[in-house]
Amino acid sequence: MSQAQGIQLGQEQGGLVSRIRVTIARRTEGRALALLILVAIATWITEPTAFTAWEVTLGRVALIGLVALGLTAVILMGELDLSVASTLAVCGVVMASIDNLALGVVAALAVGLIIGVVNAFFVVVVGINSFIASLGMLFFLRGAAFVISNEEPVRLASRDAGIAFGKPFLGPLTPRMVIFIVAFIALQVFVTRVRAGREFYAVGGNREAAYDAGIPVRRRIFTGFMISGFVAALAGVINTLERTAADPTAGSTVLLASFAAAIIGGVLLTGGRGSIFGTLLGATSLGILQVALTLTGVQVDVQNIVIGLVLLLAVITDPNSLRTVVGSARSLFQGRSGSHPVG
Amino acid sequence: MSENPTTETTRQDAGGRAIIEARNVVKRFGGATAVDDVSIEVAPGEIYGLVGENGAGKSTLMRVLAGILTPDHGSVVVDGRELEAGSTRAALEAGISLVHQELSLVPELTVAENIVLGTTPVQAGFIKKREMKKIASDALEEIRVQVDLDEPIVRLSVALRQFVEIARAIARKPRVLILDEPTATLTPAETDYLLDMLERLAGQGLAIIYISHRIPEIFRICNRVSVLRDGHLVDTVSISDIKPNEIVDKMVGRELKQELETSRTKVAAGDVVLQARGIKAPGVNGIDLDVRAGEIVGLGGLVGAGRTELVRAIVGADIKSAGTVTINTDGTMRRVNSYRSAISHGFAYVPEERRTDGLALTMTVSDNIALPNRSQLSRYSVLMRGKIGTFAKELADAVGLRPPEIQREAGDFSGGNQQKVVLAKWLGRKPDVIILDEPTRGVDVGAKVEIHRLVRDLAEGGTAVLVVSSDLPELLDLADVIHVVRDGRIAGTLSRDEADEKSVMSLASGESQVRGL
Amino acid sequence: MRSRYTRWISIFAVLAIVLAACGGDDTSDTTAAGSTDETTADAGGDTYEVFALLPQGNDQPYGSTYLPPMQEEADRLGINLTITNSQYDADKQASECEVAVAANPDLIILWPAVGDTVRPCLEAAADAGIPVTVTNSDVNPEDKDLTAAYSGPDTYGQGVASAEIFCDLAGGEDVGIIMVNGLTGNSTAIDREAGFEDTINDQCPNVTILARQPGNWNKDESQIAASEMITAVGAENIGGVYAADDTMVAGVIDALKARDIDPASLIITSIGNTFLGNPLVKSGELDGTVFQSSSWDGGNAITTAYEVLTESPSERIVKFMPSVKVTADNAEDASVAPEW
Repeated sequence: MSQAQGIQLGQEQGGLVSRIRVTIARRTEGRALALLILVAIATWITEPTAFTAWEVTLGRVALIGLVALGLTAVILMGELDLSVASTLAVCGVVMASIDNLALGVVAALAVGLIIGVVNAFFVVVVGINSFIASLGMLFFLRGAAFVISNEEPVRLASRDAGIAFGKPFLGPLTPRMVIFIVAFIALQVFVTRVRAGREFYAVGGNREAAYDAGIPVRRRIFTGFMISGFVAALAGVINTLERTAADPTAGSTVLLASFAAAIIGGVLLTGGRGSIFGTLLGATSLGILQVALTLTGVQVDVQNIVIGLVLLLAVITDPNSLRTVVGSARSLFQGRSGSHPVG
Repeated sequence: MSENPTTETTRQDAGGRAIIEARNVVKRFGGATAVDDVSIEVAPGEIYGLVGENGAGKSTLMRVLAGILTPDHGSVVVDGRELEAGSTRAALEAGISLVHQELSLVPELTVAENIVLGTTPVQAGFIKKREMKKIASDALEEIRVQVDLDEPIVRLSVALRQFVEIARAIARKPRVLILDEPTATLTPAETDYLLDMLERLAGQGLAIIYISHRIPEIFRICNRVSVLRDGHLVDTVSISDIKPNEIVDKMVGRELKQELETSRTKVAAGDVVLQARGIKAPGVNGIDLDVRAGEIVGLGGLVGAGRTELVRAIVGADIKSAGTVTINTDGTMRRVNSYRSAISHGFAYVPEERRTDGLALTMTVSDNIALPNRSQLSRYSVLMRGKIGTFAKELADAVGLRPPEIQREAGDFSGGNQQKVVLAKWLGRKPDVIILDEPTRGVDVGAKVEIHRLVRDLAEGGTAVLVVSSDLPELLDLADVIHVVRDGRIAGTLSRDEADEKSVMSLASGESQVRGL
Repeated sequence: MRSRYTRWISIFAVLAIVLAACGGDDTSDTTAAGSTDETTADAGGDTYEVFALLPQGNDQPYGSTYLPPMQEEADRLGINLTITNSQYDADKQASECEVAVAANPDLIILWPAVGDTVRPCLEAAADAGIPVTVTNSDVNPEDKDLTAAYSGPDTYGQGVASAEIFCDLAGGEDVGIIMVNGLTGNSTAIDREAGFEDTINDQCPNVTILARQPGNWNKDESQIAASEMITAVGAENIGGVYAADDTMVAGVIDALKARDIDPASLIITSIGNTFLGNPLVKSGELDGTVFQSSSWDGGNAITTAYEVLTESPSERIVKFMPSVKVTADNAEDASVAPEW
C-alpha cells in the first residue's frame, strides 16, 4: 500500500492454493470446524458407536440444532431471543390441546410466529433491550404452557401418528432429520443469497450504517424474531409428535444448548459475525459430544463440565481473545518478577 | 453572502447554475444551536471546501444535506426543487451521496455487498450477484482502486476501507458527493491519490463538498471555501482570494499567527526521568530511550513503524517481551512493570484511540477527570463529590474546554475537546512523565494550538514529555529531540537544529543512513 | 501468525487427547467388560450390558441415594451399567433412549421422565429386541405390555399404609380430615389418594374426608391449600390431616401453626420418611409416615433387571417396595433411617 499512481490497495491474485487459503481465511467457521474435527477424532477413538449409529447422532444434532438455527438469525442482528425454549413448550402444548392433528400443527406454528412478532414489537417499537424483552417472554410463555396444559403432560389425540412420525421415512432419515436439513438449507440460503437475510449482517454489524443506507432495520428485526419463533415452534411440534405428548416443562435443556451451539459455531453474540453453517457445525460438535458422553455413561455434571470446557475453548481460541489471554498471562509473570524499586 | 463579490465570479468559474443549495438551514440539538441560518450553494464540477473547528457545525450541516437530519428551519434545494426534509432516500434519489467521517461499512459483508448496501439488486428477493459485482467493480474502476470484491471489509486496511466507502458513494451515481474528513486516516501517498481522484471526478461534472482540517488540502483542490464557526457561516470565498492563515483566523475568530509560530524557548533539560533500555515487543526490536525533566522528545516515523507499540510497551499498556523501563524521581529509581505501576510511579499516558482507550464516553467530563485522581479526591476510599466538581472545573478551565460544562457526557463533545478532557484528567496528577500519542489527530486548528500550549507548559513545569506524531510540523514545532523510528528501531536521532521535514522523512522512509546521534 | 496458529493447534490436540483419556478412564470398564462379555458369552455368559435411563442423578437428593446401591448391586451381579440423566427433559430422555437402543445392550432400565412420552422409546427397544424394565414410577397401563418388569414403590400400597396408621390412631372415633394430594393427573398422586381413600372407607368409615386439594408436591402450595381448607371447613371440625408426601405435610403443619392449632393434637399422616418427615415424626408433630427407600429402589432396579436377564420370565414381574410404616415407636430405628 504505497504509491499514488495505480495505487495497489488490494492484494495480488495468487494460484489455486492461495485462493483456497484466502477463502478459508475469510470464513468465520474455521474454529468450529477444527473443534468438530477434534471432537470427532476423540469420539472415534473412545466411542465409535456414536458414528456407527450415526442416525442416532444425527437425531441428537437435529434436536439441539433446529432451535439454534433459528436463534442464529436473531443473534446475527445483535439481538437475543431467550424465549425459544418456552416457545417450544407452549407451541407443543397448543398443538396437543387441539384434537385435529393438522389444525394443531398449523396453530402451533402460528403461535410461534406471533411470539416472534411480540418479541420484535417489544424490541423495535417499545425499545426494550432484547435480552430483557425475551427474558420476560421466557417466563410468560413457560407460565402459559403450564396454564394451558393444566400443569401436566398433554397427550396427543392420535398417538399412532406420533409414533409413526418418529420412524424413518426417507431411507434411514426420520422426518425430524429431514426437516432439520431443509431448515438448514433454507436459512443458509436466506442469509447468504436473499437480500433481506444478507442485510441481517448489516443490522448486526453496523446498525447506524444500515439505517443510513436505507435498510428497513425494524422490518429486518421483525423478520429475525419471527424466524426464531417459527423454528422454535417447529421444534415443539416435532418433539410433541415424536413423544406423542406435550410436556409443559419441555425444552428445559434447549435454551443453553442452542446458545452453546451458536457460540461454538463462531457466531458473535453482539451480532454481525457468524453463519448458519457455523451453527450447524457447533450443533454437530455438541451432538456428537453428548452422544459420546451418554454412551460412556458419565454423570450429567461431568458432561456439563466437558461441554463447558469445549465452549470456553471455542471462545478463547478467537484470535482476539487469544491475544488477550496470552498478554494477560505474560503480564502476570512479568508482574511477579518484581515491581520493587531497584535503586 | 451577498456582500461577497467573489461568489459570483467563482460560480461562473465552476460552470454555471448551482446544483445543490442549503437555504437558511437551522438545526438545534436541545438548547444548543449546531447550525444557525447557514446558506451555501455548490455548482456542478466545483470542489467546495468546508472548514471550521470541531463543533462548528460542518458535519451537522452535511447530515442535513444528506437527509439524515431534519432541519428545524430552512431547506435543501436540488436543481431548484426543494428536497423532502429528513429523508435519506429522497436525498439519495436526488443524487446526494455522503461519505461519513465515521466509517459506515458493515465489517462482515464483502466489498461488493458494502458498495451496493441498501440498493442491492434483487430478483424475487434473491441477490443478483453478477449485477451486484458489476456495479461494485464499475464504481471501483471509476476511482481506480483495485480490491477483491469478495473480500470481507474486516480484512481490509483502514485506508482501503475509506476507498470502498467512496466507491459506495460513487456507485449511487451521485451528482453531489460530500466527503467528511476522508483523509484523516490516510498516509500522504494515499491522500495524494484521493485528491487527484476528486479533481478528476469534478472534471467530469460532479459537485463535491470537501470537509477537512488540513488547510493545504483545501488549497490544493477547492475552488471555493466556506468557513463555519459556532454554527454560523463566517465567510465564503474563492480560494484564489485568500491565504491559509486568513482561513485559520476566520475559523478561530482571532489572530493565531503569533501563537502558531511561537517557538519554544529551549529549557535547560534536567536529569533523565524516563529511561527505557532494550525494549522489545511485537513491532519493536530493541529500543533505548531517555527523556529528561522538562524535555520534549518526539517520536517520528511512518505509520506502522512501531512508535505506538513502543510507547504502549513503555507504559505497560501492552506486554513487552524484553527490556526495562525505569522512572527516576526524587533520587529514587523505580522499575515499571505494568500499567498500574507506571501510573502509580507518575506516568500519564494519552493514547491514540481516545474514543476507545482514553475516555469513558458515557461518563461526565467531571467523572472522567476524576478517574485517575481518585486517591486525592477521596477520604477513606469514599469519593467526595463536591471536591470532584471544583477539581474538574479548574482543570477543564486550564485546558480551555468548550463548552465548559463539566457535567455533560464526554461523548457530547467534539474530538478536540475530548482530547482536552483526556489531557485534563492527567494534568490533575501533575505527572513526572507524560506520553502523548498523536495528541492532535482529528483536532481542529484552534484546539491544536491550545493543546500545544499545554504540552509546552507541562514541559516548562519540569515534566518529561514523549510525543508520538505523524504531523511533521507539529513534531518539529514541539520537540527538543526527535527520534525517527523505522521497522521497530531508532533509525536516527535529530536535534532541534538538525531537524526539518526533509531530514525526518528521509530517515523515516529509509532513504538515508543513520546520522547525527 | 502461522507459528502461533500451529502452537494453538497443538495445544488443542493435547487437550483433545486429555479429554479422550478422561473419556477412556470412564469407559475402560465398558470396553474391557465389553470384550469379556463376548468371551464369557461364549463360555456361558454372566456379564451383561445394561443402560439405565434415569431422569435424575446426583443432582437430586433421591437420585444421589438411589445411585450407589444401584451401582453396588450391578457390580455384584456382573452387570455393566451405563447411566444417563435426562434432568426430567422428555426430549432428552427420548434421545438417550435412541442412543441406548443403538448401543444394543442386553437390557434397558427406564425411569420415565414423563410417563406419557415413553411409548416411542419402548417400541424402539421392542423392535430391537431389547427388554425394558421400569423403575421408580411405572409406565401407563397400556404401555405395560412393552415392559418386562417394574420395581419400585407400591404407590397404592403406600396410600394404604398411611391410611392404616390413621385408622389405628383414630380408633373408632369420628374424625373429620382434610387431604392434600399430589399433582393433579400424576399417577403417583392418583394411586396414593385411591389407596388412602379405599382403606379409610374399608377399615375406618368413621373417618370422613371433609375437603381435598392438590398441593403439587410443593411445600408452599400445600401450606396455602391447607390454609384455605381450614377456613372452608372450620378449624374446630378438623381432627386430622393426610398429605401425600412429607414435603407437603410440612407445609400443612406450618399452616396449622399459623392458625395456632397444635399439630400434635391432630392425627396427621403422610408418605416418605424423608429427612424432612422423619424429624417431624420424632417431634410428635407428624403421627406417621411411610418409608420410601431410595436405596431399596436403586438396588432392586438391578435385581429385577437381573431376574429378567437370567430367567426370561413369561409374566411381567412386579416388585413392590415394602411400605414400611414409620411412627413414633420406630422412628429412631436404624432400619428406617431416612435416606433423602
